[in-house]
Amino acid sequence: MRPDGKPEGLRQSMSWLHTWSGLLLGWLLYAVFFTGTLSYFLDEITDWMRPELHQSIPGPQTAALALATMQKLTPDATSWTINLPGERQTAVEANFRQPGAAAGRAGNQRVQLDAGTGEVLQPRETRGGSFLYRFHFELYAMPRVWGRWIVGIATMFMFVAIISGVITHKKIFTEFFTFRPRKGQRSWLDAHNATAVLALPFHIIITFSGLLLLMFMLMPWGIDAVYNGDTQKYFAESRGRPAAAAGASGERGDAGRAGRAQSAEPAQLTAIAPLMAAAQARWPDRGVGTIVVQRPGTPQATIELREQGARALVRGGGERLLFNGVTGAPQTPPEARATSSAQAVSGAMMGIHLGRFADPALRWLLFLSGVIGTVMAGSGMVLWVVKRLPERRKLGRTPRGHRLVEVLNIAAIAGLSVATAGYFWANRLLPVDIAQRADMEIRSFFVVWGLCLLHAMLRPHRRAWLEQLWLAAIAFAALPLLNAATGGAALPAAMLHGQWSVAGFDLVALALGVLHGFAAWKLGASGAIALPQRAASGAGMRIPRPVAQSPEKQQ
Amino acid sequence: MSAWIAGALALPAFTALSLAMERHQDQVFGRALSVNTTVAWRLTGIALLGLSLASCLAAGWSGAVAVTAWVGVLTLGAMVTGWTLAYVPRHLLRLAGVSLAAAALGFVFSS
Repeated sequence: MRPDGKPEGLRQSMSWLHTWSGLLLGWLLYAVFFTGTLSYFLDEITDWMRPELHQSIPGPQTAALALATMQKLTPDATSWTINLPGERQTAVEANFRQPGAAAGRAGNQRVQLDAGTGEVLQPRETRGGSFLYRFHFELYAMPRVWGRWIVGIATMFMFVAIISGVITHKKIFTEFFTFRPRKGQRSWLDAHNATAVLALPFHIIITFSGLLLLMFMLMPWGIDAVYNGDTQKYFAESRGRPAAAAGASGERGDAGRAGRAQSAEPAQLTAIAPLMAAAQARWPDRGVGTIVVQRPGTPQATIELREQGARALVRGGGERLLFNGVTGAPQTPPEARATSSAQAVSGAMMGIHLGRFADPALRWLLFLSGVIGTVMAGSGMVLWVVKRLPERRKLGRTPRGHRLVEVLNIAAIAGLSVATAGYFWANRLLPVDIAQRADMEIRSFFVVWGLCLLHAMLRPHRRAWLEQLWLAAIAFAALPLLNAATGGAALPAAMLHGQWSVAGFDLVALALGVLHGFAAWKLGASGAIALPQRAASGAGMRIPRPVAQSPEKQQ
Repeated sequence: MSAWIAGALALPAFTALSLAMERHQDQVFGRALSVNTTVAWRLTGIALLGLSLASCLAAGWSGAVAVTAWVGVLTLGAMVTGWTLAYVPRHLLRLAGVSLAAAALGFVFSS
């Protein structure tokens, strides 16, 4: 590939591979990283986007109130699954199954209850955080399978880019801690290297587990061969049910009905408070997260309490207590099935990717790692442009390809931030009762994103960056005000009442506002200094200042 | 609690490791250190990293979660070390000392 026809070294060919595999799918990967990182706070985002739930303030009576409401609402249900409010949710989310409901998730019905009064709440129609979560692996407005294929292929490219990037990096150890600010291309390269190397384990885990999650679709042949194409059977077995009993949950529903038929006398459910107290004593740190009532209103009723946040990294690991639903006497829960080590490893990998464990410290660490990954993807794409500035200067004009990359960079990086903020604004500004409200919110997201692309095409490169970054900064920073003004719980009140899902969202929005403002301010400041050498600054990403410090030689 | 201790240990750990590198010795001390001192810094760094892993493992998580948390903690510690070296290298030792003291205090109060 060298113009002089000499053979190419491994590092050069890897550098070529890294540059182009990174650029080709970089914009998509940036969006996947960005929306995926936000998805660590899926529940919080969904809570924030339903301000009708913000009035729900948990108290000591929450469990009893929720059960009383369910008793009135669905006395005939075969089961109630009541998720109590916690750090990640402010209202009570109650699922119930009517007799004869379809097996699996389809048979579930769901209501939101006020944790302070037990009343049923009617939240606005929104996809909430699920939209961002779904977008990060299925994209939008195309058949799911296509979206997953596209993201799956991009993930493989990401893997290629990580490996070739590590090989290309000449001084992975000697420059481990090196960041040289205000040195143009050098700084961008340092930033790209630092965000890549220092979070490398995270990048590898997240990319590899992302591939694992899509594996059943990308590489179905193993399962096809062993199970003769009966994928359902594979999933049933890997969840520990013998294949014959794949519809077990449906059967349990029938058993419940049978039990009801035998008992002429409906039985009153025991008071929940003593059971809650017993569980609280056993789990002083986290308390009860979920109450599951089987066959309520019958003599066979059972009440199961599950520990808050005990969804450990390997699924189904949490502790639970089982009680007789009528007498309140403790019962022995059925033995949990032992997981094989292969399942434990794959479960752990996927659990890490999904952040499916509630420990806030860990969630924040993963979120920060995700932010670092997002910065890595973004800095890599900016680096592509900055690296070609000398070439462009020599040429005396901007080649069309370079301009295309510039425009796409702005729309993909700054534009995505503006669009995401726009999605949250649409959530509050669209009338509550319009038809297809959730779709309108999502449409707003894409309209804003499209406008950002148009804006990037029409404005000069530097101006476009500045304007979109400032817009994103203001739009994010004003979200807490918008929240308070449109019926949500205001930040101070939410913090006071311990509604951390809502308060956390507001705080992250403020942080994002500051982050974007800082980026815009840095970019603006660099331009002011270098006004005389505007030609040299080219795109004006940043300007080489006459820097004298730093003992090391320029490489 | 142990997670915070692990984080507070990661910063001095990476500080020690960076001080085993000539470039950063220059930045922090203004000169290169002798071979023996360099090795001592490196061993200190490795020992602190081990302690940080140990406190993650002691945090009551399953092994997989503990190692994941440790990886996150390492990223943060290395990032802060890198930023300090880039902007205020002279304060690196002080910062690492404060962090180490915080880890020690955390350990005393949690046990």
